[in-house]
Amino acid sequence: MTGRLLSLSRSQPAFAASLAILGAVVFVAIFGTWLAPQNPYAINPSAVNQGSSAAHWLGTDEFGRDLLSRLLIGVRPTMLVAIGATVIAGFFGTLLGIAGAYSRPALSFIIMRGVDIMLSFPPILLALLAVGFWESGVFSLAVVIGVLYIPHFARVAHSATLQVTRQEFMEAEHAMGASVQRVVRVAILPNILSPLVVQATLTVAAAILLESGLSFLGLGIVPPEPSWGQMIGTARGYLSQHPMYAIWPSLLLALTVLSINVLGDRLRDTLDPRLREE
Amino acid sequence: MNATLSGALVLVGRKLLTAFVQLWLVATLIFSVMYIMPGDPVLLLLGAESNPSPEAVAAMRGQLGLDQPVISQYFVWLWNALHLDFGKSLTNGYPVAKYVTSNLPRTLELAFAAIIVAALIGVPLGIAAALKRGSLRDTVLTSIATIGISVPVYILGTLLVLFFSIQLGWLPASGYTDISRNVVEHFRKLALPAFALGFGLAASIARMTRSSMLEILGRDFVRALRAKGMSEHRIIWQHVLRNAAIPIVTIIGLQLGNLMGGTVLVEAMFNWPGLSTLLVSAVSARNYPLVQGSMLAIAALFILINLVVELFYSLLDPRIRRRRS
Amino acid sequence: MEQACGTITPARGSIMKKRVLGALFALASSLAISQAFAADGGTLYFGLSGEPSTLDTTINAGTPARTIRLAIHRGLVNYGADGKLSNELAAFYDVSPDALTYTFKLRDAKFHDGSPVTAADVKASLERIKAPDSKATYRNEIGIIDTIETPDAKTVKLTLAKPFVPLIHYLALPESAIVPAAWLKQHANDPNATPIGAGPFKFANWERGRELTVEKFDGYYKQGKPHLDDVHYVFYGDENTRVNALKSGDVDIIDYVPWKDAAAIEANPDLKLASTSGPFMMLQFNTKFEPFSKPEVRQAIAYAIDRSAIINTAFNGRGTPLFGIAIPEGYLGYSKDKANYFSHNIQKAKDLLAKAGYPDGFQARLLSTSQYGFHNNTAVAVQAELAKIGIKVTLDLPDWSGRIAKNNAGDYDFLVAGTAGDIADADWLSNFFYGGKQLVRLNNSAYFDDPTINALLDKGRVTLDPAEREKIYGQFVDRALELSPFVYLMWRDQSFGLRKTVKGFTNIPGFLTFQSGITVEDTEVK
Repeated sequence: MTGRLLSLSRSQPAFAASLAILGAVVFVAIFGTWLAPQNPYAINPSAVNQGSSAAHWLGTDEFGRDLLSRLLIGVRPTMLVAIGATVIAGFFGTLLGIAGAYSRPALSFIIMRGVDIMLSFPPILLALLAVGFWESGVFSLAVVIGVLYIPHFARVAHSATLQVTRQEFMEAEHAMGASVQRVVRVAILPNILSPLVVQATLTVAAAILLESGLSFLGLGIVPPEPSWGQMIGTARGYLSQHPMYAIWPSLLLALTVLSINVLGDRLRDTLDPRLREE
Repeated sequence: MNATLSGALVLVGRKLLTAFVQLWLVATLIFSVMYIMPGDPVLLLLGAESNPSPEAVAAMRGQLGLDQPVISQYFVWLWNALHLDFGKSLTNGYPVAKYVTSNLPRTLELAFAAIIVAALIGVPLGIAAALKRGSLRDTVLTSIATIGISVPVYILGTLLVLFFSIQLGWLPASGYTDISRNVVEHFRKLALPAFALGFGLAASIARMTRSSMLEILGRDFVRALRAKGMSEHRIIWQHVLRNAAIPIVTIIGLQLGNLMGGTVLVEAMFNWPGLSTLLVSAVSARNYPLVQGSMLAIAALFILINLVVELFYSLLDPRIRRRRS
Repeated sequence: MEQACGTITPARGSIMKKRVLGALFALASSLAISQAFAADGGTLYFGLSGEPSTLDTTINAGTPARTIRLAIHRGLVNYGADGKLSNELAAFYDVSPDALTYTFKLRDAKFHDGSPVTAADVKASLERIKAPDSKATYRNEIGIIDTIETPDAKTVKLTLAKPFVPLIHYLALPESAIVPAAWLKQHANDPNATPIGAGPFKFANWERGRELTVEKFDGYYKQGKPHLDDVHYVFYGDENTRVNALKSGDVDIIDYVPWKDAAAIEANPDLKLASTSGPFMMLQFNTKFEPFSKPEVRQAIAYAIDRSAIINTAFNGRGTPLFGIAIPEGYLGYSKDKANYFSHNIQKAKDLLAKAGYPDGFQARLLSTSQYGFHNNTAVAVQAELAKIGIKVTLDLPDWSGRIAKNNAGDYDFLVAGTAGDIADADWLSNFFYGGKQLVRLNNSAYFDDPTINALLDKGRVTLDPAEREKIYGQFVDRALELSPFVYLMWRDQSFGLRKTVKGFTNIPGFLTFQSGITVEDTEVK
């Protein structure tokens, strides 16, 4: 797999660039607190809404706080929410999906109808309700968004598992009297991993957008912690007087989501057997 | 044909039953969420700037029926909903059904306008990219499409307002005018929100058009046609497009369904008085019956549109039809 | 939903629209032209910061509701454009020397249904507020009235058991409007009934979620008023959308101009800003929460916060620091010496904290709301300022409804409040400082109950002699500063944004800015 990725990135500059950007994002998410040139929380009433200067490379926000520092430390909550949500959705969704495909019909029916019902809801509306009654923070946002994407994973895992169970080696495993756990671990999981990985990239991107949308509506991470979405939501009000305030986080957000999407596309092209031939 | 029709009827029947159960579960879920949520409609009703006495609060609560146990409120609501009575707004006693029916067409209109914009841009782009897979044109078009789905709708919307209404003054920044009052004004106010929503969707429609075109292009029958020496032009316009049309239309239909709740941010930004605006304001006023009503309407529309799309798909796609029978 | 049947809305005035529509609709554009020459007539589009939850005349449901009600209804008296009491449905009134009897003589005014305004209507309206089961916001204040007599159709006599000096001010509030007795009999409990009042405009249509329209009332008792044919109150909950609507010409006036946009509106050649100072921002404390139970701690906070940090960040510099008690200049109780009792002095703040037993500070939860930017930003600035004296603040930012519920339940350590006094009389202070039976209320610091302050406020409202009253409120201010149940932060500018074509609309100064809607009767559009 690594070898294939390497050869891909050599032949495709966009893919290489996305990998580089995502690498940088992860690096900043981990080390952002140390990278920030200034205290991202220190307010300075005499320097609000300023453009770039030697003191503040990207300018300041409405509290006179350094935008660059805030952008850097804003990566961590954004990524924690997105990745946390994906892990939650991936774990429970896969579990449900496999169970739905690999259990008694009655149980399977209940699980998959439950998934349908959850899917009959635009995620942002449920998040709107759910975030309203919880104190919002990285953890609760990750849980809410994660729960919302469980059905998406469940569907993917379900259909992939159905395909796998029809294949012959599964019959062999059963014939050998393997336990359910073993079948899932050895036979099913490795064979449904590809679509799940693709789904995971989609979910990370969607979770970033959903978090930013909720922050935009004022339901995101609690200030003074910054997140990109929250910065964009606030900056929208200052668009005509301080356009760069909105443009920096928008650019970074769009670039990150873009990189994840490019990565997802390439992964799908590489991993999806139907598209691989040619 | 007869078998198909009865098959379709059975499908519709089963789907409607499922939809009914879905709506019931949705209603129950919202009901419980609303009552866990902090906040109190009575305090808001008695005045945002005043110190209501406990007696006045209790009296108001009694008048609105909020002093009953939650369980009995739930069953009363459910019983009434079964009789198509969705209750009254807590704030002014105005029927929830009237609120919903006046706002629902506006959300539908916005969604349809956005989907038309999206299809008109997205489908041709997707086809153009698929026909020259791997070429520079493909790379550029796919990149644009990928950028399109990566830019949140509220960033795009904000830029559109800044440019078209504040800078150029061509289009109103927000609002809504009833079509019966002023047709031109109506569509001028529809333009920006429809485009803000449509652009993002166009990107995903383009991507999906491209991939379904590619899938069809990779099928054996295309190879067979090529081997038979049919012109590439004819293969694409007569065979590939016709086959790709079904998944493309399906995708557009599903997008339309998603838009039923997906207009939240755009409706909020443009002050578009649709279902989401109704929902958001009902949530912030803790107007429980109105939250229930608007949420149910959104879910019902979503389910209904998906049902229609699925039906359409199963009637048109021979493979699915065969599997059903 | 009922439609406005057969009414054609004339084309709105933006330049672009005129260009397009002028070509398309000869009828509409000719209407617009005929308006341009007439002094009177025309349509005003008024962008409001929210949709009223109710139009019930007795409930103060916020500024948007008041703005609309002040177009439809009038009281015996109201606050006029100059901020002074003006006789409205009362031609004049007389207060007996012992201040126990108020006699009102009604003028010849008509309600929108054509019936005359009579003493019976006044009696019915006030009795509805007084009623034991009434939900009226000012029930306690109007409830002071003992008996209401109607010697003849044009005379109303109010008798009190004990003097209550501020009564006339409470009667001037929009919540003391006079409505027809017959209407009340039929519709008092029907929130959907068409409102009937004696104001300059009559209710025409309420399209829920979008706009409420009122039309000129030809029978209004003021000669030559109102000037406008109709007013559309359009609801814009989102502040950025509201500002954009003004800039693009969708509306002619907006209320609650966000502070960050004030400069842009001033700089715009088509727009103007009508600004006043009067509402204030303050911190309200739960006096049961351990450190905040000590006056020294609250005083320490008053010294610790750099007011400019809040004004320059949350209000874009549009406000005035407030280092005393929020009594506007010219109001009873104001004194120049006490206006700057506190100062920004970190050392003093630290000393006071140490004296109270918290040399290293403590942790506390600050309640505000994410729904309104200025509340949210004030909280963020206070948090940063208090960190400097070792108080670690965590923010609790639910939506407005959640905040109100927590406020009313006393579920906070301290909170950010932005408000103004209700009336122009000193008794507005009672609402905030009085202990009384209900110790956890929206506007008081939870559980704060000081016998000295209660006694002074009780005395202030029954004292007739102005000099004596002045002295009482002077003593009140001393005691209030000493205990500091509130820490006042700033006077904020409160602005309306207007197109330059709008004339006659006034932002009433001081606390009364929230009642500026009354001046729509003087408003013209060119």
